[in-house]
Amino acid sequence: MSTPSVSVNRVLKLKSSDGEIFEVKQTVAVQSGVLKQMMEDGCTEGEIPLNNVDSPTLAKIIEWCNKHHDNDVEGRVLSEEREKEKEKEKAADMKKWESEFIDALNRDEIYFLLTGSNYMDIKELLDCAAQKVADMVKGKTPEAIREMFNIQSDFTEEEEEAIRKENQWAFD
Amino acid sequence: MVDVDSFSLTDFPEDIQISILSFLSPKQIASFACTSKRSVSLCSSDDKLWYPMCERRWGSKTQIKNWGDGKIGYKLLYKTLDEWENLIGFWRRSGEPTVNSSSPPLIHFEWGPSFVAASRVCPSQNCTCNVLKSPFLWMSLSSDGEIVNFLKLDGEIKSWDDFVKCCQFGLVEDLVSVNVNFVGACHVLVEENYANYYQVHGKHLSQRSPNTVIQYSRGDDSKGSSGECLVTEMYYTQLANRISPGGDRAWRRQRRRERERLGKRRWEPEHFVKIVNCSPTPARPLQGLWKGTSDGINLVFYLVTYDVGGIICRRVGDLSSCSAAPVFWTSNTTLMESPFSPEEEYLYDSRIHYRSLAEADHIHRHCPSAENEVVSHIMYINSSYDLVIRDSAGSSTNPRQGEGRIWHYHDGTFGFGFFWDNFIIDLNPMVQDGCLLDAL
Repeated sequence: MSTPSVSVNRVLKLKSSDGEIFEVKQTVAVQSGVLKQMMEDGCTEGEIPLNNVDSPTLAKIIEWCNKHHDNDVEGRVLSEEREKEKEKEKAADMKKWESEFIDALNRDEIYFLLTGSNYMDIKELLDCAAQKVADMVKGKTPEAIREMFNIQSDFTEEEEEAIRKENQWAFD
Repeated sequence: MVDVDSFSLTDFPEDIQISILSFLSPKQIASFACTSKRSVSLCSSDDKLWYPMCERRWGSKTQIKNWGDGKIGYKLLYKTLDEWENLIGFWRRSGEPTVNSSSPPLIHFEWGPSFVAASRVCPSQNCTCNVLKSPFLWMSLSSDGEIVNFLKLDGEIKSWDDFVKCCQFGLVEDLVSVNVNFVGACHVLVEENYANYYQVHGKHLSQRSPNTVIQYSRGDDSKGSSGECLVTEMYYTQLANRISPGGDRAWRRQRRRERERLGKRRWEPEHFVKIVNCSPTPARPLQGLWKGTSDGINLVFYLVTYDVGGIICRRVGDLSSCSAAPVFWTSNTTLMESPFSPEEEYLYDSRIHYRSLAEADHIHRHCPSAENEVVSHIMYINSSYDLVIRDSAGSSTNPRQGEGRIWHYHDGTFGFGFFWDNFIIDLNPMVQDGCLLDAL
């Protein structure tokens, strides 16, 4: 956030894959590793095409980044004494917001969000979405996981038995 | 859910797939691995999957890359740390003390850079509230992934570095190779790891195998003083194990002979039970490990626990004994709020505070003088003598003698006292955020 080329008032124009333009403050955009790099390289003039991210997904991503940015800014105003306690409270609030944000999405939206956040290199959002998908896997049998993710088994019967045996004992 | 079948996980870049997998438990990852050949390879990618998993979970506590000299698989490391993480915190000895001269009533497990280690925790003897902490148990992984645990019998090692060096080379005479085995999540058994045991239980234990590489033989005192000889011996032992099929057995036989010659075990199996609640919570303001002095001189550790029956406080040193009486107890956990009755005010004001001296040195801690410690709540307690009197002598003694009070102060600490004397024993917390306070 201390990058000298980043100013509070300047905005970036992001263009989604379906041609929609989104304006984002530079201070918000630094959360994306890709945009941060572009800012540092000074090549953020004009529209920045994000060919892998459609407009509903980009809107979600920006909503996420704005929320996290606001949270960070608030944090710096606090006095040192109460900071620890407040910090905890804020972290809990943010966790709550994040889970509501993610829970409101359907599976397709989450999948798009995964690709989008990966493409734009927003680690926290990628982790949050990945966590959500991981939660869906919890408690599922290999068959159910295959069904869920459209995975085709390419094992022979013997191979499958062997791999199951091996993994049964891997962790218990 | 719309379009359940529209996506296949395999459409995603590998980064994303790994990222999702990294949020699963090892068991779920094992399940996932059973879905396809591609999944098998994803789930076993040590650097891409298991390293980030280790890093995310324990990266802030230990140096993931330094475990096992950086030569071990991260999957193995994850499995090991997943279990060892349960050790972190405070444990008390369970059962009467055995012959182990160095078996302490209270130990504290912590993360080290590439190991987990336990220290004995004892009150200092210098009239302060300082706590002596001496490392005595070291747990790590060798570069070939074997578990290596050492226990220091006696004496003190001042610095972790020295301890680690000693353990790595097995160079100190009173180091004992041990197994630390979980008996349930909050109970461990620390027992000496020697050849006989390994032979009998070898099959069963082979997964968490006792180390066969570094094992110091105490019998050879002539060699024992020289580190070089020992290392050479270790080296040949290891080599023999690798190259000759009978070498392992021969080596164990030799070990057994040594043991028999030695004639005794150096460390008797010792049980430890985890102290799960070390600190107060808003609902349980008195809970946890505390320290105070009951005579103005010697520091004593106390543990206050809540259960369905109420609150009980015991000396940490007494915890392993079934017969030792509690310090105080109550079945009525109601707190009286101020303003207090004149009788209660007098009861408090007329007393002398016993507190450990070093408190005055702590600038960061709120430390009022005896006269103006602000009491926020009062609670009725009973001493153990109450129980004794009723059991044995009937009603011949003054029943109020065993009665007492807890004075809960505004700063979260508390003191307690009884009707039979005029003192208040003020307590300080021993633990903050899982860390030992005032450790020397």
